[in-house]
Amino acid sequence: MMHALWWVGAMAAILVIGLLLGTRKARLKRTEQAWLPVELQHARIEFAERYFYTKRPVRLIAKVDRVYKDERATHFVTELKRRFKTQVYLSDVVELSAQKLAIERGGHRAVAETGFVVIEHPVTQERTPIPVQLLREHEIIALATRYERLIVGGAVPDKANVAGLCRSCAYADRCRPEVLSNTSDPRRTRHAR
Amino acid sequence: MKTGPRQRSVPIRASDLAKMTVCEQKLVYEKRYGERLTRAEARRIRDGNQGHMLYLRQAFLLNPGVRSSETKPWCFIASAVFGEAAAETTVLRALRDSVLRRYTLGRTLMRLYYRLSPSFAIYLTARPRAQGFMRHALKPAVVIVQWLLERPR
Repeated sequence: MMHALWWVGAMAAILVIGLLLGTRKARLKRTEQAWLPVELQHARIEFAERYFYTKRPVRLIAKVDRVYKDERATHFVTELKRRFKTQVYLSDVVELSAQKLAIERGGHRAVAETGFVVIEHPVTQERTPIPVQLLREHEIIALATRYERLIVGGAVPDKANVAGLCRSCAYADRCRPEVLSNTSDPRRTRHAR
Repeated sequence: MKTGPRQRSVPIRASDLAKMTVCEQKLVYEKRYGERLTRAEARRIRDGNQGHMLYLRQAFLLNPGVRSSETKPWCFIASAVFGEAAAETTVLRALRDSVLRRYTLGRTLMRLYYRLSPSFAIYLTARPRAQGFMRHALKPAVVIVQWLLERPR
């Protein structure tokens, strides 16, 4: 009798836990739908934390955060950023554009001209997708060419020249030591990235 | 485009192109002397990695067929509570591999666990107090499983 009661109790516990977890999954789906942009409402996640590699037009490797695929088999690249400010920087656009190129050339898939930077608030965890127009292929090639010249010492690197950014840089002592001594720099203005 | 032998062997990372738009000098220093981080930068990266891990887990939960270069975070609850490489997680893995996997009922339980536990692991990831509670609740089970696995048969 006791043995049977134990079994009934265990089954009931499994059912309750299953119900609770099922509800949680449904809630996660609803939460996801709430922040997804219109373009991705009916799309599904195709890739997550996945590497793409291409040899041409430049040797490029990119790791995507999430790529969504809509009903017309168009892929949308998204990049997660945890920031207090709901703001997109040029570096985000370049990263997404390079990912687009790697997917198109390396993964042979059609990628939309628009990507999304998903800004996640570090405290509230609220996500805000911001659409960005991605760079064209020739613009990425130009950046890659510049990169290669910089690495081999064939070009003089530009400095950020934003005191706030330089002050928080680990190479400030080598590059701009004056910003470390002068904390009341009037050029401590906007964050450049 | 002409490239030297070094560039031919190393592909450009998308994230490096992004860094270039922030400060080219920093990128050059990183390539020349290795990556150096301030404490604030290291903290930001750690925080970002945690955020990305959760984002990945949610992606697997929303679409279990998603393609990824990362290992599927399938050790869910034990990993979330004890850590990926903890002794307790290893014991529970041993239970799965040497006992549950051998029997039909065990395999059914595993399938059920794999279906339900990711959402619970996500719940635990963001709640240290719940993790502590689960750790205490699971400890006796781990001790019993370890005793059962190690006893002479």
